[in-house]
Amino acid sequence: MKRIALNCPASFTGAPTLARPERASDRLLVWLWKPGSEAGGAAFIDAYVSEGWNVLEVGCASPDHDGTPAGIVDAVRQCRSRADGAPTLFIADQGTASALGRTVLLAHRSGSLTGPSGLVTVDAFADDDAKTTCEEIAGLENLATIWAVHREERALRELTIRHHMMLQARGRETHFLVLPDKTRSLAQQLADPHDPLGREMRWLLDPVHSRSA
Amino acid sequence: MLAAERIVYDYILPPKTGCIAFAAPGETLRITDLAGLQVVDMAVFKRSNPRDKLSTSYSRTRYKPAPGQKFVPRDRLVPGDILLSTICTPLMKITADSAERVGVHDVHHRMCNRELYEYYGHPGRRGCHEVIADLMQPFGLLPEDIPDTMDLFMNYHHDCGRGHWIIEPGVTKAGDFIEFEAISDCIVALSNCPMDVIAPVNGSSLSPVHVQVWEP
Repeated sequence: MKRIALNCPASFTGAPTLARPERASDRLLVWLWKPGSEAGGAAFIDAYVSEGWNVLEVGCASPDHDGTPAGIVDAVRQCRSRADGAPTLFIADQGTASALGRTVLLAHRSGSLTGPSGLVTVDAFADDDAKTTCEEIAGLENLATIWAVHREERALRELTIRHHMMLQARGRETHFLVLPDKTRSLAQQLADPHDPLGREMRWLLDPVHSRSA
Repeated sequence: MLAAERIVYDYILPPKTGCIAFAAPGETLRITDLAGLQVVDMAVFKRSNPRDKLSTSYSRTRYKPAPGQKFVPRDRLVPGDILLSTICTPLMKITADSAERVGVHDVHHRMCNRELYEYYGHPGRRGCHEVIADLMQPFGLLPEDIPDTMDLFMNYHHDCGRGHWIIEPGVTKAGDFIEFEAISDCIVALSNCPMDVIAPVNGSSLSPVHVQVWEP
């Protein structure tokens, strides 16, 4: 695995870091986390790099800062020695759904994403800003989404499932999932190939299908 | 009516694809045939030991009759019946089947597979076996470990007089569903059947199905 610190103007917690597999790959996973939620991050990055993903890790203490989306899109552009049509998967850790949602919108509108793209969120509706952003995201026809929410967050669950159902009604590729265990970080769950969220994410942009290989 | 706030998993499974649903004891899995006449092949595994897996034969023939009832080996599974594993572990109980004709699900045969398509002139196509094997590969299972499936909404019945099986279009209408309550902690692998050649298994066109799990 190779690790490269990227040069970015936005105020991140350290430079965004790109981890690359030894064998060149076009697939990019972008993980935005807030300090305090990054437990298990190293194992998560190792797992996905070993499965052939480039992983762009962005730590950010104030993800709602205006410059965050542009900074991440800039970092994504720096990752590109990637072919047109390469898949990009955005992972919004706790408290970053709004910022990463705005990043996805900016990336789509600026033409930075030419291939299939996906967004994975956890407890996305925990902050009020996320609601507006998620409604805007609903306008993106080619974005696949996973909406995960913790079991005990009853109010968030209801908001999230209703948003997911709205996306379904629009014919979007959308998955809804309740997470039973709040003691495991998002990174720990995503790293685990037997975890329901870990499984769902691995198949989000590459579903198991019956078409010939 | 299903309360949205109790849903723990929700996904619309497109034609020719597969997915996994996890169902913990007490949780209910519902598979809804959104347009009607669509078959879904379902394999069930115990989560703590995926080698302990659905046996449609035992599910039909190793049930325990209620006191005073005579044991009769069954040719179909209906609400109240329990899906048993290859070592008779109770996996899930059928709790609802909303179709007008209840129990129209194939519980006697395996899935469509690459060999079937190849033999009938469609080389390279993958069937429900390949899809379910791919779904279960991360859990350490190989294609040869995949059990006979319960083929939901498949109208496949025996003609005793002529001594063979008959495939007919299903009987489900749009919105018909089947529900299972998990008894064990289960992994449920689902393949939205890709068969649109050879036989009229899925009506005139393939269609999506809705997969939902909710808590008690």
